[in-house]
Amino acid sequence: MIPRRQMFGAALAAALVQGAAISQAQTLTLTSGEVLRGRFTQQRSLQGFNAPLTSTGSFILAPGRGVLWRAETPFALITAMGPGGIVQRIVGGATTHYPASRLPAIVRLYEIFGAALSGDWQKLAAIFDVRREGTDKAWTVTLTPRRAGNDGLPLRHVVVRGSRYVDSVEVMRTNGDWDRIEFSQQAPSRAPLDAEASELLDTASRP
Amino acid sequence: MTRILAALWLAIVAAAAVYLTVLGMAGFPIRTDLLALLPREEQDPVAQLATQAMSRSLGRRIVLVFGDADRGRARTAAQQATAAVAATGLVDPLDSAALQDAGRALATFYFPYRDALLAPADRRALDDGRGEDLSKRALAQAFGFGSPVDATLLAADPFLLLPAFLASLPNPLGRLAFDDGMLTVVDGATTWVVVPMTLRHDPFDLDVQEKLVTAIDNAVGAIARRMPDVKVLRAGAIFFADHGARTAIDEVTMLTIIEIAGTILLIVGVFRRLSPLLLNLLALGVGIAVAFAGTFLIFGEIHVAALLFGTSLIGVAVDYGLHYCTTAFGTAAVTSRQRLAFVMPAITLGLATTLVGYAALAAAPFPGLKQIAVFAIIGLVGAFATVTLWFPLLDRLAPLRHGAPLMAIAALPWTFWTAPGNRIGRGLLVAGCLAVLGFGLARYHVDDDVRRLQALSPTLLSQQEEIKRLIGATTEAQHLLVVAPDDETALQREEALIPILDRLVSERAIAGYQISAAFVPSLSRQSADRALIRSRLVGPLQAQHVAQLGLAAAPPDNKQMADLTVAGAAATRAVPLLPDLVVAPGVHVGALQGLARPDLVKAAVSGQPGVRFVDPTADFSDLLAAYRSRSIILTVISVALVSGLLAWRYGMRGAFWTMLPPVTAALLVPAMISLGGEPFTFFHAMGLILVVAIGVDYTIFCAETPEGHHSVTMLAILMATLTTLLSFGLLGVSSALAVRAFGFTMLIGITAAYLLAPLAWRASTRGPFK
Repeated sequence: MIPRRQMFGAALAAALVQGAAISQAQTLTLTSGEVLRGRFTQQRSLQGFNAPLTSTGSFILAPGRGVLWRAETPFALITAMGPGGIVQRIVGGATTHYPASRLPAIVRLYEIFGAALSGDWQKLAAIFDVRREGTDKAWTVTLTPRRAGNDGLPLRHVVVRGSRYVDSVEVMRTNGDWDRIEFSQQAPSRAPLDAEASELLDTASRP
Repeated sequence: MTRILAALWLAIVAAAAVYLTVLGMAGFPIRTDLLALLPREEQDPVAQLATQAMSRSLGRRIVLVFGDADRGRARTAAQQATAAVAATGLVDPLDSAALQDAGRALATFYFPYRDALLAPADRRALDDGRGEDLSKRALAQAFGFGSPVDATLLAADPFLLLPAFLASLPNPLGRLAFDDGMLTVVDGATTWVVVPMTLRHDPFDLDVQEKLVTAIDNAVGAIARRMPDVKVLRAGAIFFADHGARTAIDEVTMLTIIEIAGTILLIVGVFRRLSPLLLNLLALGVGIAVAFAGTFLIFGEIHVAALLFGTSLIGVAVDYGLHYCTTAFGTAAVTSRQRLAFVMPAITLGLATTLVGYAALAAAPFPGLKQIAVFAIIGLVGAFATVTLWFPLLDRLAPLRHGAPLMAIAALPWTFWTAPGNRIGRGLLVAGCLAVLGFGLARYHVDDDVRRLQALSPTLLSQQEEIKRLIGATTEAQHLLVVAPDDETALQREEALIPILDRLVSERAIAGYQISAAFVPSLSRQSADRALIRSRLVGPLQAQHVAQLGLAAAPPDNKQMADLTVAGAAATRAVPLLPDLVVAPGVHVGALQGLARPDLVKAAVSGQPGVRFVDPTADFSDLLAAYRSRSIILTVISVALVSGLLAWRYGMRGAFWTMLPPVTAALLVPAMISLGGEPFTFFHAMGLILVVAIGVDYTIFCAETPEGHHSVTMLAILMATLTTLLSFGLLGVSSALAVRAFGFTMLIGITAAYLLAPLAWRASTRGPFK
């Protein structure tokens, strides 16, 4: 019910970042065993709140395994997403696992963006109206759901901006709330994952 | 006088014929519900109410499942089939839009009561003083990556206690999840789309079965042609009912054809004339017609099983006519009046004793068996009236001369029992009988498990099991019954039950459960939770929490919100499942899923006040066991009654010799069944009543035989035996265990009754025929 809707949004954003980063920036090639590391700032604007809720932290994109978000401010929170579902851990608190078998929409998204990874934008175009602008150095992709509302995605549109990597993702929701995530200090890395990241990614990638 | 009676009988038969014609034009009201054959649970109206509510809601559920490696194909197949089935208008397909929106509807419903609702885990956290955790959880959702939160909800419920409560509610979907508007479960490489539907009608309505199952078969056939890889599974009571009814109707058709053809061949073969056949067909036709008319008149409907046994009645009703007609082989009675006088004492006494036997059947508390008994009594009286009133007027049969070899064969048992030189043979047979009785009855055992009685289609069963496995949690017929003076007490009893049920889930005795208290906490728990939230969460933490969130305004410190009541919640349809769980004020059902260990559940709840584990199948089996022993008592009573009747006619010694053969035949049945290793069941016991009733007819025929005419009588009895075996004995090949048990009983019992019948000559008081 409610958590399912939330996770749907999370998976969508994660998959978008993953898909867009690799398929748009042709220069990005992660070799086997390589991950993309970087930092992010998320701003969330909610109706009735004084200011956007802002969180910052680091992320790891591990092809084939998923993506890990490690928020540092205002407090520590780790979220891992993969084909097997979503795992969230409040540091010093509880870990919650939402398996993909309960959320087939996530599996579908991974299918779709798996296709996107291999350059098959047709599948994505079945769900979104995909508009691309700009150059390879500074591009913008705008995704608009073909069906919005109850049976579609609760999104107005998604705007992904990038250069070599994805620089920002904006998710506009139908209720007027929005999220903006900005990425920085992105670089491929061969450094091994720490134990916690590895464990959470494993849980999230196991079907 | 006899002519007036014959005319009166004609008027009655004509009226029955008109009644049947009128009824037939509207379609005969025929039932197939096997449960209707069995007794209503009379002891406990509350449990009955709950069980009925449960079985009504379970009985109307239909699930179709479409599986394919390709998600799109599975979805297309599901859409096409659903559209085709929905077009019949017989089902309500699951309103997937409403179900998909159920989360929001549920949240809207509970919102006004949120200050007193806690998820069990949150209650534990607050009890343990871990209020900080709940604050962090809410912050994580608000700040967490990607996860949208409802800003309005956050403002009204900053700790997000309501979403946690909603997430803790029993999930009606089991392993299923919504995938773009369709219930889906991914199992290995296969995507299964699950389409639940609710039948609008009684699943045991033959017409509904035929239309719906045909529509589904056609839709599945169309899918198989276009998308041969798509697997389609189905589950629902209607499919079993339909299969059972089709099997029964096919069987009735086949058995009836064999029986009628066999009976005709037998009669024509023996008499080498057509008129005995026509006379007997007349007696049968009249008997069956008035039996049908009478049964419809009394019950308003007829059960397919009564029809099954009713058609078999043909063989029994034919006995009187056969007895009358075989007199043509004798030399004593030449005119039709003499013939009737010759058989009148035997068939009158035979009818009287048979009616006593059937009356015992009618006294059995099984509605369907009452129908069979009424059908039999009316049919037999009808056949008897036709033989005694019409035969003398219609009979033009000249004495027959070709019967000597037939009579010699038929009389073999008579010779065996009466010939002076055959003491050794008789001794051996008696010893053999005693041995069979001794060894057999020593191995006597019973099995009343009702599940053995229905021949369930293995294909449907395996599909049902596969669906259960895929969905993960399907509601069982077994359930908990919570009875209390009012809803509040019932909810408190359920709250005491929750930890026990949770333990049963962790022990894998059950996969899950649904009880009202999970949806609606008792008023006392609501007020306790309200106090807990205020003292452990709102008081110490709210100011800091709201500041961290950056909420524009702290949530208004509302006065106490309204209390949530089970009646109020059940009245709105927002809470799925709940209306099914509340049977009446204070009477709640606890639904169980994936029941693996009924024994553990029964033991775990046994000490709880007002809580009972109800197992309709086991209760049903217990009931069958009770009625098995009761019907044996009925047989004993009918033996006693018939013995009294016979003692009045033949004296004590004569009564002994007329009762010995049928009683021995009846005892041989359980002995032979036990020798074969089979358990004795209620349906064997019901057959015994008939064995005694028919067996007594045979001994009466023997006892009433005038001196020197035993061959004629034995021929009549042999033909009666053969026709009875053609009808009842054939039931021994039925695929339904209940029917087979009955048929097998008749096969053994009636054969033995014929072979032993001549023993009754010792009771004979009649001199030469005058």
